[in-house]
Amino acid sequence: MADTAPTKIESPNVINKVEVISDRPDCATFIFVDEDHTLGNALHYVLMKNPKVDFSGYSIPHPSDNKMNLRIQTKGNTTAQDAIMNGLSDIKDISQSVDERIGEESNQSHIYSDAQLCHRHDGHPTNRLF
Amino acid sequence: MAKKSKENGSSSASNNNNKQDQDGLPDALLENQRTRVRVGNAGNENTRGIYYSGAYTSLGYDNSFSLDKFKKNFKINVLSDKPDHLVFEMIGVDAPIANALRRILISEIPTMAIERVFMINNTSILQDEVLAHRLGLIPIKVDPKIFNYKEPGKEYTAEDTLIFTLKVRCYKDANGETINGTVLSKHLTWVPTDDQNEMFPNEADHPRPAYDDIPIVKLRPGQALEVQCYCEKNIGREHIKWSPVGTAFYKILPEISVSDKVTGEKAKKLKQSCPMNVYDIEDSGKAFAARPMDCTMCRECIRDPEMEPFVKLERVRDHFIFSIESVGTIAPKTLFQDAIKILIDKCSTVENSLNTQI
Ligand code: SF4
Repeated sequence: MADTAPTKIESPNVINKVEVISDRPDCATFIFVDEDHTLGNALHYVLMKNPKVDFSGYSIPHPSDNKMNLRIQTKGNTTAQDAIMNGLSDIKDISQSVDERIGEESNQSHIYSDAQLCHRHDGHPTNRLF
Repeated sequence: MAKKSKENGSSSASNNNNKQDQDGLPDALLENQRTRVRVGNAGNENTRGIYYSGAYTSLGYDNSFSLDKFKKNFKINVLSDKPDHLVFEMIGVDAPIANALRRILISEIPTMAIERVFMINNTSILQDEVLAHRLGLIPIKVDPKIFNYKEPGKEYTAEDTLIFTLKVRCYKDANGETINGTVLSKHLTWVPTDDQNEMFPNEADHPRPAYDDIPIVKLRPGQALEVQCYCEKNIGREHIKWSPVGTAFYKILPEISVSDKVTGEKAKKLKQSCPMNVYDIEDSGKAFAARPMDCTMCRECIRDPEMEPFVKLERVRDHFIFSIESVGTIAPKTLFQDAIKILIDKCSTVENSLNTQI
């Protein structure tokens, strides 16, 4: 945590969040940086629930490496890229309906806009995020 | 996986009455395995949920994800709503999603906490580093959303840093009473820098420790403490002091069924065996689970092999009792909503990253 060792700079460059390793459209390994079981297991779950996906699995190869690997194999009628996009939007849909339901439970309205709640990995360190 | 082959064997029979969109599986045993975790003496059974979309195709049950079905089944039911502690039921959601929200609550919601402590004077019994650690763990009540993350190696600015001072001297007054024998969190005073006074126009919003009575260190007459504390914004994954929750956890709903045969002496024995007083005895003398929510799944009631066949301990796989206990800086309901936003945001970040690569 010393000033001299800025090891954990959150790069505003979101391009490096995921690396795709794939030599066939229906199979791919996605290497996530700075993600863990939170997203890994949730993604694995929604992918398994997608009828077009044959296999999905994730692993965290080493605890002190901030990487998470996600493997997807589809049934061929869709690409692994499409499958992960589908999975991500499924998680968003689920989250949104959970949010609606908890919103109904609470009478207080939402105080913050989505932009303000951006996760820190989204970059723009000069904006007042969160 | 063994289950899958079993289903394939009976596929021809069940394909005839192809009942799509039914609520459960036609086979009672399989349905039980799908929706319940069994707790037995020898261990837990069916702990892992079956998520494969095609797992029950041959039985005419579609196990794939559908938003409509999810919305239809999903329920939230608040059980207790105190300022710092929220307990609610979340029904119809699977563990990976509930767990993601729990993990985000603990380790990914940003807050402000004391990160750097400048020691000007410390003659107390506590070593500098121990004192600094204690200071770090004090929850600071301030809206973290108006601050930035501090950039490593850069100067402190009003937008990413809060400064508190702590200047306490212990002494004996004229009556021989010890004054300031305990340094409390209320002794931390906020020092606004630059335009920070304008950031908090209301007195009530001023940054301060969440509680006034947290003991920091004990002093004896003649000892003194003078430190300057710099708060930074970060998340619980970096250090637990930034976690906004004391803890966030869920338990899965216990479901207990007692056989009709448990009557008389046996029923009394069952009632007495439970340390959580889950069971009661009906007027007819039959034992039943009156307070299943209190069950901790300690398995004491089935430890006696004679009792095991009569008591069925199960958990409802998709029924979570979620508890969020805030450290006092942000309301638990807001925390839960923030956690959902962060999960959505994580997905968007990945989507953006993938889109830029294609
Ligand atoms: S498992 Fe333990 S707490 Fe639950 S009913 Fe049995 S004895 Fe009581």
